[in-house]
Amino acid sequence: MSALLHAHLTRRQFLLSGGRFLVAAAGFPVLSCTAIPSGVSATDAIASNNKFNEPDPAVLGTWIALDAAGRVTVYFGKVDVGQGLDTAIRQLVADQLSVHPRRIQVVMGDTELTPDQGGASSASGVEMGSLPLMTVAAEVKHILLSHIAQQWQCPFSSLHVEDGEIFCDTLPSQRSSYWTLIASDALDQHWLAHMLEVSGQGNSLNVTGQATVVPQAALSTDSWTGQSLARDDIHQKVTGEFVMIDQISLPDMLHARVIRPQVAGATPLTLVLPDDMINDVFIVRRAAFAALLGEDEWRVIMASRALQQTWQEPAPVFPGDSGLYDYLRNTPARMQRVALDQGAVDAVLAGADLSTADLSTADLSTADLSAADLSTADLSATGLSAADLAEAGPVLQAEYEWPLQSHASLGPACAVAVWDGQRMTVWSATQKPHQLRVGVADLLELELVKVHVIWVPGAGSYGRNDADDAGLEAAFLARETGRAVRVQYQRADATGWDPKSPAAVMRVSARLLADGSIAAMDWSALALSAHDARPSGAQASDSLIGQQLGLERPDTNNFSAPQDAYDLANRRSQWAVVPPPLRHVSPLRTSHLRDPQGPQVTFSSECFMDELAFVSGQDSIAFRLRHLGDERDAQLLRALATESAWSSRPSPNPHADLRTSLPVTYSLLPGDNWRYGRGVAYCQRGRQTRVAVVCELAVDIQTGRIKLLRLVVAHDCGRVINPDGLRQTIEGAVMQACSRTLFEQVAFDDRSVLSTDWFSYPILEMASAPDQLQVLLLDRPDMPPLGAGEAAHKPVAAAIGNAVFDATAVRMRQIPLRPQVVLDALNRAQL
Amino acid sequence: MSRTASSTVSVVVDGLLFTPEVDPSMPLLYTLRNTLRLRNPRFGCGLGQCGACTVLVEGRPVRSCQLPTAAVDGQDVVTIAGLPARWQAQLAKASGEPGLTDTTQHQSLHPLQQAFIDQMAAQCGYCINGWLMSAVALLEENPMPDRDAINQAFAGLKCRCAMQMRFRAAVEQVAAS
Ligand code: FES
Ligand code: FES
Repeated sequence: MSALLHAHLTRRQFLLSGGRFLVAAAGFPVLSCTAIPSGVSATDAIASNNKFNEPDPAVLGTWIALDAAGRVTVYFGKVDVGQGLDTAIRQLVADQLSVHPRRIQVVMGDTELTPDQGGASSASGVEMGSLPLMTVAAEVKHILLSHIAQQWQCPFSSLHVEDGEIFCDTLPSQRSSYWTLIASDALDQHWLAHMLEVSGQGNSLNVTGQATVVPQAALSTDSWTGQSLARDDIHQKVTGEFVMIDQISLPDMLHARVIRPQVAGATPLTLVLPDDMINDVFIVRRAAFAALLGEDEWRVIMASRALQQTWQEPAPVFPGDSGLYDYLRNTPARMQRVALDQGAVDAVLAGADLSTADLSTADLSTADLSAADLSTADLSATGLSAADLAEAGPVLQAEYEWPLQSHASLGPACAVAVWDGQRMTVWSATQKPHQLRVGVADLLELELVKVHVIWVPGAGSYGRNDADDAGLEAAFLARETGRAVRVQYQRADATGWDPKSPAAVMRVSARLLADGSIAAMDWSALALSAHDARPSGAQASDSLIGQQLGLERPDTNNFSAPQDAYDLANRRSQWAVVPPPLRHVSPLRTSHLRDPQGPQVTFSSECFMDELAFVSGQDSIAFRLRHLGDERDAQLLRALATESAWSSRPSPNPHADLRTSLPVTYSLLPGDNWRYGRGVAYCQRGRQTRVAVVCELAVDIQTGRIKLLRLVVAHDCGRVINPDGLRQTIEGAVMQACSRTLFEQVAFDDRSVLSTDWFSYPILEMASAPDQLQVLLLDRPDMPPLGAGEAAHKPVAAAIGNAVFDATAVRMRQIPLRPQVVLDALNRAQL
Repeated sequence: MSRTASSTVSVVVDGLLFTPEVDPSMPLLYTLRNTLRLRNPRFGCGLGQCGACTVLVEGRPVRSCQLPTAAVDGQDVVTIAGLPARWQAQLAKASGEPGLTDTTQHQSLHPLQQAFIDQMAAQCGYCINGWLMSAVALLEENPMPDRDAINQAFAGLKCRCAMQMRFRAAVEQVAAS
């Protein structure tokens, strides 16, 4: 038996074990469940086509299966990257189907079994991904109850279900259950072939049946939604039973180690293995792509260290990390997008020329407008009068800088692939298995139906990390060698070469009216594209191997603008994308990293709000509240103020040297160089989820070190499905943002990335964690559940920056806030 | 196959004796994962910088990616799968009963495993060996650690899902009980 069939059967047998309806779910519509004679597995039947199954979202059985033993399986075209998404899905399905969630198993991210729902994307797993699953659960319940109503000759409305047991109000002696019904012959055995109406695709894929989904608000109070159902996977993870991508092993498998250029843009000239290794290890090289392969993983690693290599090196192409922001400022943008333009911003900010001002200094740059002649300006669109503007303050302006940051998943990417001469099977921790499948077909010029991608959980990812590259490279090497191949990146392949979060320079200008309200605000960003590698692996030209084999990638531009509910009459937000310094095979290629661009953008917009509050002597929360145009957001901020015991006063903290100036007394920090402060920031995510955070911290003015004391988060993502799970998700998003804010920056010189391990790319460790982290959930039972995996990641950097200002009266406009950077700023301010 | 000199190493892992023939300079991580097929210790950096590969060697948390296999000859290695048995043995020792040697029989979890579950102290779980094993070793040595001691025991460990607060809470839960 080929390795493919071996591995494939294991998976299949697992699925078959649940009974015939599992076959239906897995096999539709290529096979009907009855088309498989006993003794012939679905695998054999499918294999005879030399094609993999295409799960058809229009077929009910594609989504869900029930068996006589009382188990329910749902097929979910998304994946859980560690935040317990599958547990939330079980709860939502349980409520629609009226069964206990322990009966429900969620199969995720297998292109042969699950419909394409876009994979993990934009924190959409619950918000959008759950919709078709709730529909099919309601539909199954409807079909089964309709059958019973007919059988028992009772009104449909007299039936109710408790954990799959069916009761009738008018016929108390009658009892049945989903499971007896399925075991009986009463049910048409094609009932799961029932067709649904399909709409949307990818993230928005949805179906409609005859049944109506019970809205969240109408669920009974004992519904599973809203309860903290425990995740099964944590138990398996602490006992070692949980299978992850790095543990997938096939018979007769080769281990591969890819060879990345030492210098950006270099192509290999000669790659020579030492003589004593050529029996164990061999080189596969096509164009600029090269890998070492062998049966013994350690020997392959040793060989990669001993490999003699010469490379054709181009002239240096990078600006170096210290030249990055000037590169962004001085390189002509290749595209520009106005995300928001209301009122007449230019008319209000007229006359301001700050082009020569140093916008990164501790003070806000201001333009004196006393001499500006406003008599000819057209103010009709501004909502302001000439008198308002005559009394208004100067134009205030500042610039904020955010560096390149690495995805830096804890495990360097791993993938396994096998080619049986007809079909390609790839095991990958990609966030988007269906899209990787398209990418593999693209790279290898295969028909899509010949590629099967099986998602296996891997080290947490928060956007596009290196997993898609590894999947494509494993597939390529499997076909080149005709063997099963396991690609395991080394740490330098991961941190050094994974897609980076885009760097940006963001400029904000505004003018305050005499009453301290904002007359106009202008926000703009110069940034690298967040789609230099697009979010999915669907295009081989976006991958390292694709580019090493000569594929050209198109320009794809993406960045973001602030998201909030500030109701400003005159406001503009625009971003421009600057071309990358190296277009292909670049260790600085940029892509999505958790709430793509949210931390960057919100750092600038919410620090600037604080700067405006400061210059006008207003409390930071009160200043935000007076501009908020949405009551949901205002409630959130008020709740945060109460939860954090926020005392109303302007920044900076007048008693910054007293730790009692903060509402909570923390353990004594050694020395008397600490200055205490608090900061707030708020934002929306996708205009749906709203989040606000208060940070309390201390700054050591001798060393510049920041000690986080307490973070308080207020979070409104609509209906809360699983409070404990949600808290944990928010906590991870917040803490990872602390790490990015305090520590993370990709170091690079003019030719290479220098951040290649955890020393050269430090992240937050235990000792830097805050004393306390409080999460306040604002549950909205009348609303649908909204995305939660990313929102809380956005405002943290701004809250920390604002707290540093509160503590020290020095404004930090550059990330990361490493001690030396803070110290330099403190010293500059004292001069 | 391999041309490097291999030698026999005798090592007890999770209560079972193994005598693999391996390149003695090969890091223990690869012997565990590829030779013994015990794949819980994970590859995170291969540089001793993250902790994903941590096992207990003679009770001390060790980065198995940095330790030549020869160094564990004649020693006792525990992976997270061996924690329930280790805990049972410690209980038995404390009560004077003979220790359990059958690691296959179902055993209750180590209190720290339970505390990690109670505190939901993992997202992806890729890092779990480092945090869990370091926590076990810490509490065996110091049952009532303060935060400085916890910081020290966890120094160098990485968690990209940023579950630090929960790892600390799990240790504090067990210390308090
Ligand atoms: S893999 Fe051993 S410390 Fe990172
Ligand atoms: S739980 Fe994902 S790296 Fe720690």
